[in-house]
Amino acid sequence: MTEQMVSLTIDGQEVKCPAGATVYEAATAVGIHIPTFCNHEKLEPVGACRMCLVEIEGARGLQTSCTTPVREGMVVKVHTSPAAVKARKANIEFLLTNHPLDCPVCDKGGECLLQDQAMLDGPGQSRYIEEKRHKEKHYPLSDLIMLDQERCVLCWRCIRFLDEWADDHQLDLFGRGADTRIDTYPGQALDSKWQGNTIDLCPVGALTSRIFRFEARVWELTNVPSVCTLCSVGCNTVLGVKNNSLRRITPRENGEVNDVWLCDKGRFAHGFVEHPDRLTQPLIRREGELQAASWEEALDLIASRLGETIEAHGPQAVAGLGSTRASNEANYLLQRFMRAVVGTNNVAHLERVPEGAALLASLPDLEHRDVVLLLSCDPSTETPLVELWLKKAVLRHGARLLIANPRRIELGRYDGPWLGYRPGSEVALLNSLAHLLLAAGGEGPGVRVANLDDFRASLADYGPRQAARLTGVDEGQLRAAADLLAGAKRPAILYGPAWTAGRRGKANLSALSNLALLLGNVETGFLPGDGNAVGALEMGVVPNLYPGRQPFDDNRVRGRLASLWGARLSPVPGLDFEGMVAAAQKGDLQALWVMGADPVWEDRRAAAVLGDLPFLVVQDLFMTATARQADVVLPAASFAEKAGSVINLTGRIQALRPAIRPPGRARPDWQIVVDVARRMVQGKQRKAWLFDSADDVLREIKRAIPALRDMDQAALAEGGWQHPAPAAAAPRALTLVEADVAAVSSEYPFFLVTGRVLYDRGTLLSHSAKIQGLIPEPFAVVHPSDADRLGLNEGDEVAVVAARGRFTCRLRVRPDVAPGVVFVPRNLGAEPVSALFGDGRSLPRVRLER
Amino acid sequence: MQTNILLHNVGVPNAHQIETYIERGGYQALVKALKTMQSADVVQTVLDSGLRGRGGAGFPAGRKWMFLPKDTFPRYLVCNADEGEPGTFKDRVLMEHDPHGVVEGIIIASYACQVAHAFVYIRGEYDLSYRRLRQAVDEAYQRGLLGRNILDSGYDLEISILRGAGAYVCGEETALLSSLEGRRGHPKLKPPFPAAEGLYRKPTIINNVETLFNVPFIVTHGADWYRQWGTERSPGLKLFCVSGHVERPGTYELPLATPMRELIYDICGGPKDGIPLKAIIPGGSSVPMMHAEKALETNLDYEALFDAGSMLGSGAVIVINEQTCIVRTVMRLAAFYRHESCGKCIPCREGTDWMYKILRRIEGGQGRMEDLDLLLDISDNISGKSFCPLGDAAVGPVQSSVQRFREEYEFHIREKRCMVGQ
Repeated sequence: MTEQMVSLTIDGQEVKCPAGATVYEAATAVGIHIPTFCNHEKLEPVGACRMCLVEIEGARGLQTSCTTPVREGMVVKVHTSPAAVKARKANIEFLLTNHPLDCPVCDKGGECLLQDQAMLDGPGQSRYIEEKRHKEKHYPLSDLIMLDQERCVLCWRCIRFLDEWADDHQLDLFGRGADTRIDTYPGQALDSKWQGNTIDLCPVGALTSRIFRFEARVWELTNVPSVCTLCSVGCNTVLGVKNNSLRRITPRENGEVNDVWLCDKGRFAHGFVEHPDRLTQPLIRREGELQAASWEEALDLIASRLGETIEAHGPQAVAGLGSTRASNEANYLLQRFMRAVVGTNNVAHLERVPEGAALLASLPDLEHRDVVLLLSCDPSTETPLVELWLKKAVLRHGARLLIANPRRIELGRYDGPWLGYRPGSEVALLNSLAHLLLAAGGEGPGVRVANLDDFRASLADYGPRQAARLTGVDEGQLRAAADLLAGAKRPAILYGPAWTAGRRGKANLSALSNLALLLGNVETGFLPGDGNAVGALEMGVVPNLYPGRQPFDDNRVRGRLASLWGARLSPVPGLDFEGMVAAAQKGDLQALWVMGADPVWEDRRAAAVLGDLPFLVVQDLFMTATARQADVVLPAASFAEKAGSVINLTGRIQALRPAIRPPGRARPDWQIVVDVARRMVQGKQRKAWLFDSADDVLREIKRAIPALRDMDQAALAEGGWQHPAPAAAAPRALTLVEADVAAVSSEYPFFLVTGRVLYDRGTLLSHSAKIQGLIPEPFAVVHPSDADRLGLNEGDEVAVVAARGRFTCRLRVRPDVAPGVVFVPRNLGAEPVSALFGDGRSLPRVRLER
Repeated sequence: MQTNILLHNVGVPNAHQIETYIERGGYQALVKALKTMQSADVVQTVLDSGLRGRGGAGFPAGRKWMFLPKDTFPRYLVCNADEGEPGTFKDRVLMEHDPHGVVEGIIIASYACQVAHAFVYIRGEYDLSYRRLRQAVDEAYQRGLLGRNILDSGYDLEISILRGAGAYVCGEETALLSSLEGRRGHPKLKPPFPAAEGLYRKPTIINNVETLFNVPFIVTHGADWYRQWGTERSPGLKLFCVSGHVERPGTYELPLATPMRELIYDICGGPKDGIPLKAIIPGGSSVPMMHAEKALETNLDYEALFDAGSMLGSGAVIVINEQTCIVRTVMRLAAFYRHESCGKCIPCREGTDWMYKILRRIEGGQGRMEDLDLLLDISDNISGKSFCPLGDAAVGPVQSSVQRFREEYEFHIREKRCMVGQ
């Protein structure tokens, strides 16, 4: 695309810029500063503040440069026009007349546009002697934001951001003229998950963070570039540190990830880093009690116990559990330790990216998708920035979001259609869409497949009427969805862990691939939950793949890694986590090293088994349920305290940098692995375990993973490095999958659906003191028709009862779950719902009791 | 010479009802337009007549209509009945006494502009005007003068009437459109101008009540007939609302370019109780205030008043006699503009607040001599810098009075009391 260029003169300087740019943009591009308050590059121009007035030859009166498009030959005067200079000075004077001038106690001081502009261009002395206007000060808009209406310059950037980006119309202007105020609507909360961005956008100290309130003057902060690890998007951040303490997190621009935005969880939920309950010293179980120990004692004990176990039971009696929350370096070293030092392939992690799942190629590209099918995922709570990119597609370009989920997720507020299927009918749902697509178009996919006729025949029983019966989705909705997909020009399919979980996961994934192929091999993207889910898989913390997803049974790969690691590598297949639990039960597994994971919390069966394991090592930030059962507990460093790298959901590798020291004697995970390994190896191997830094480890990772050979390590801290996704050949054939629709049980008539809420009681958020008010009380949601039938009402205390557990909470009655479904958020109660009801394989069924 | 053409139905019993209106020749212009003229002919006739917008800005109506982009539909016509300029009450007279004249004007203008849906945005406080207009529109529908296939011409038009909610700024055309769309009454960026992209982002013509009211007369009698009055650049007839210190205040119909002296002395009976006049605001509260003697030497047309340092505006002549305190008068006007500033832009929002506070302080005997230059400088800092004309309007009385009646301000400041004992 060639852009047409326009030449103009600004303050005597020849300027070339693309046609369609504004005068403001043209001037800014060549370094001519024009002050603005209302204008912001990410918001639609409104021309309200009149700060950017300039003189344009031939135009009557001064013009706002933020709204005036450039024209060929235009002559603009910014600083050379006495009238424009006077107008801008006057505007600063106007703003300062009623501004409280309380910079000394204002958190915005130091990064305030009004302060900067007043210093640059403002009057030394005020001509204003009248009494200043009084409005609300210290006015909490929410748990997160404090409003000072007296400081507000009424640029309404906050309102416009919430309208234009978040689509949360929760702030507005009230009153008129000099009495105008920003406020929420009476009786309505500001609860947008994007509200923190209004603090960054606010040009003055009107909107300030209640989390950062009075924590530091901003010029005292040391700003360390970092990456948010609370979800798999990997938003780029800046950690603001003062006196070795993390005071605030703000977004760092990255057009490929988070643009300039950050969700409120990523911004505000960092209290856990400095929570007093952080583990600060190693603990060793003595006489049944976990007691403080030195690192020497703890590491020696681990080395000797693991050595003894290998001696007595063989290497297969040892296993390691890595984590989707640990860095690449830590995960890599853990699997290397297990494979090269212990001699086992027993390495795994929970919440792994499923086999066969493709990653999303690009986040910003989502904006240009016209139809996006969201299968059993909820970007709003799981991967918030994905929600923002999708909203951009909807708001700017009219994209349609097709929601296939037993729950009408937040993005279901756009007109969908919503396919609220019954859990267990996923294949039937997609087969019926395929049926309709083939019936309508007749000609099939844009790509050639070998077995189209067989596939078509296999869909005979998935007509919309039958499918409606199987899935519980209205026939009309199915047809509307198929029509939408058939007419889509650039569709994409996004899906989450819930789609691929359990016994049906593999078939669900096949049905998804079929649909993608039928639509012309459209892009699909798996949206993992945790911060480094992609990294954990990539680093090879799985029993059947080496780092870089290299095949475990390829002798050449094994040979190469063996020489890199200086050790013989076992060809015996390892155990995944289920296998580990089973082996532990039988006594085959004697020792387990858990790094940054909490399987006891997640899984009831694991709880029973791991407690009896002869030797359990846990390294973590907090005393988790698993740590409580451990023989050795090691204090680990948080994301803010260590160097390392993580990989986001598009495969972008990004760097973490230490911003503060770990509390007490806590150490980075990767360091702990090295410390243990060096106690267990001799000679040449000892040399292979010499790592000075996380960067050192990453250098070895580059050698272990051919696809990363060209990675620029220096780029990781500045925008990251995109892992080149292997060019996947379009599958040649469709997979014939039968729907195995789960039957309804009379004793437990409801399917339990779990999922995330943005703020839950997981380990990290429950240790972030200042955001506790945002975490809801435990609740369950049912459809009004089910509530009516059972005589239950909104707000009733109910028990969600299954064969193996019961969970008490308040009932919410909403039409946004499918009939026959109970939705319970995963981590709100004292116990995790999945552990109470699930075995991870079959669909949990429950009933409701009063 | 006072004329009785536009106001010929005022004072006639039941003229607001369709029977009387038709009996007195009403809707004949519509018949003529629909049966004998193409819409372009109507536009040309109005263009030729030189009719200028009567809301205050005086922009030629026909030229405005020509700005409509060809072939973009739907397009809308909005009758601006949000008459809020202090001193102005001419549209109210028309809507209360001759609502069908307004409706006929809207229909013909809509036909000329190929509009199928017209809106009336009427000032919320104008209750009788609203009810009369509502009734007139209903009657017009019943007679087939609105709705589908008007008078068998194949032309369709719907009229919707919406009531304002009390904001002066909504008389500004883009703020009016915001309000009409159900949003906060904030002015919008121009360009795009409403004729290109207005209501619901469609081409929109916005005309004042009086402007539209003139249209049927022009259609009936032709452009030349209309041009027998006034001057080359200010042709035709105009309504003037005279308020303040005259014996007979009220709404009068005059050819443009009638001498102000004739209006004040011959038509309005001269100064009330014979008390000499001090000042005249000739075109509504936002135009510059003039010394009475200078104003009386001026003709009532767009050019003459501009040359004399003021404006014809909406035709609201506010007459102020010697016993009136200028400072207090201007303070009251400043309070109005402070109250009505919408708050969108900084110069108007902050400037009107500041000017009012200074005037209040001077009025209260706490003035400083430097306040006068400060008022002028604030005026300069608002003028031409605000988002919409409201800022300029607020400056009008302040700037002109400080410049032209400075001695009265100085007396206030020096003596800490009023020159005329108010």
